[in-house]
This record gives sequence, C-alpha cells and structure tokens, in this order.
Amino acid sequence: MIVVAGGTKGGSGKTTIATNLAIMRAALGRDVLLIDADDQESASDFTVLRNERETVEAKYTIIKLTGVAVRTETQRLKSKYDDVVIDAGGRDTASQRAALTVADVLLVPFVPRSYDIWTLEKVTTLVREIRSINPSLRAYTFLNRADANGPDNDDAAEVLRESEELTFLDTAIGYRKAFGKAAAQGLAVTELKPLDEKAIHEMQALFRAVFSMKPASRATVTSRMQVESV
Amino acid sequence: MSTITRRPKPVNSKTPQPSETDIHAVIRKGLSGPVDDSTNIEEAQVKLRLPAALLRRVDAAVKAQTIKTPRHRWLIEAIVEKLGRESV
Repeated sequence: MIVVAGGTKGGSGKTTIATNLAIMRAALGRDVLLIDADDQESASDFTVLRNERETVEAKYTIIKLTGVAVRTETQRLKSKYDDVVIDAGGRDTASQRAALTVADVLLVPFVPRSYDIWTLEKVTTLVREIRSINPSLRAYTFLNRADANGPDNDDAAEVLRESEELTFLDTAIGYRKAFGKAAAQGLAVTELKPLDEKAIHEMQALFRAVFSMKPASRATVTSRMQVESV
Repeated sequence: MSTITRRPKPVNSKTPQPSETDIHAVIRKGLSGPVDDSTNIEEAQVKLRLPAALLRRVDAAVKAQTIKTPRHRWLIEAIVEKLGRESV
C-alpha cells in the first residue's frame, strides 16, 4: 500500500504521522520504504536520529525525493517493498502532486483551528484534480493535535465531514507531549518509555483504520468517475 | 452459500487513461522545491563529461549517504549549493 501524509497546511503533524505509521508497519515485519518528499526533510532528520540508536528494532528504508521523481521512483520501487509511506509536506508542491498520482491513500491531518480548517477547500480541489489522473486515490481527513476538551474538536469535525472528496476518519489524535518526546528520541510513540497509553491507543486506531482499508474496486472507481463526469 | 448475489456493476472499460504528458502537467502545477529543477516547464539538458575517477567519487558519496538520494538529485544539490555560496 502507498500511503501519503499530505495537505496544504504546515504544522499539522504530517511527519509525525508518516514516521509513526512507517515504524508501526515495520514492527509487524513488513518491509517499509519511507519517502521524504518534504523540503524541510524532517523525516530524514528523524531517521538519522533513530539510526543512531542501537536498540530500535523496527527498521525501514528512507530516501529523499522531490518533484516528478517522487512519482517515477515510487513506481519503480513499490514492488520491492510491502508498503510505501510518503511524507509530502504541507504545501501544494510538485512533490506532493507526484506522490498523489501513484498513491493508494492520502491522509490529511487537521489541527482543530480555523486557519487549518480553512485549507480544506484547497485540499478538496487538489484531490479532485489528482483523481483525474489517479481515480483510485482514497482521501481521508482526521483530527490531529486535538484538544483535550472544549467544542473545537466537534466544530472542526463537523466541517471536515461535509467534504465530498475526503472521508472523515473518526480517529482523533490528541495534543500529547508523548509525540514530541518520542520524535526527539527518534522513536514512534509506541516505542516511548514510559508508555503513554492514550497516545498509543489513538495512533493504533489510526493505524488500523489506514491499513485495514481495502483497495478501491475498479467498479467503484469507474462509477465515481462517471458521476464526476455528469 | 447463497444462490442470490447482487447484480455486478457495469465496468466502463473505455475510461480513458491519462497520458504521461497530462500527468506531468498536473504535477507541474505544484510549487517547486529549492533543488527541484525537474518540475520546471522548461527543462534543459546538458551533456556532462566527467573524469571516471571523479564520477566514482560522486557515486561513493551518493552511496555513503545516511539518507539515500538518487545521483541525479545529488548532482543538482551540489550545483545549487555552489550557486548559493557564490550568490548567483
């Protein structure tokens, strides 16, 4: 499966999502390729830090790619790995578009704040455009860095549910220091000691939601294309 | 096992496949990164002649990277770095 953590807003936690999913997948014995297609190269920095640790067990391969090469290299390499996870960064870049042309799944984390939610329209337009190239792309939103309480999570979720192009996943990930602590050590939150049970539970719920998805059937894809062309 | 199944949905086998030109046009609408010359609409090609020993050093450097990048990108990064140093 080719999974892209993307969107058009920085700071929503895409690298955290991409690295955690890659590590959790590798921990199951899968051969995982992590592609850092973000100019900020945070996933690469994270991996350098991780590789300096001698005790980590879940290993993955990482490469840095930009532009059209994200598409061509992913196409070339996908058969050599069980899963490919792409950190596409937080802008509408050629790299992100190239990733989406070959992806199975797009995950767009949204922080429950107005500036973040306002980017939904741009993401929707991007997904619609990409589906003219890659009609089988499944696109999902979810809340990341969600509040512990208050109405903002529900308000943001209500807006995200309205999207016709992106499906809202009800697997919110809270704003928890465990994610920052884990990243600072080159670890997934599932590897951090002491354990943060809530953070692990939330990340595992997202993980299950993503990797239990079945590929879109050709009939479904064709049907959607016909509806879109009406 | 049930003997009643849902009627199969029709599959339109005539759905046109996008061409590589169409795909690249969509990709190029995105912003380019600092070292990403591959997305420019105008792409220039240059034949680069290198001493074999120098190319071997490049390949060794590419291979020694902690985070792998293709040689093509490594060369572009080297060019961009030099241009940056010389403020061109």
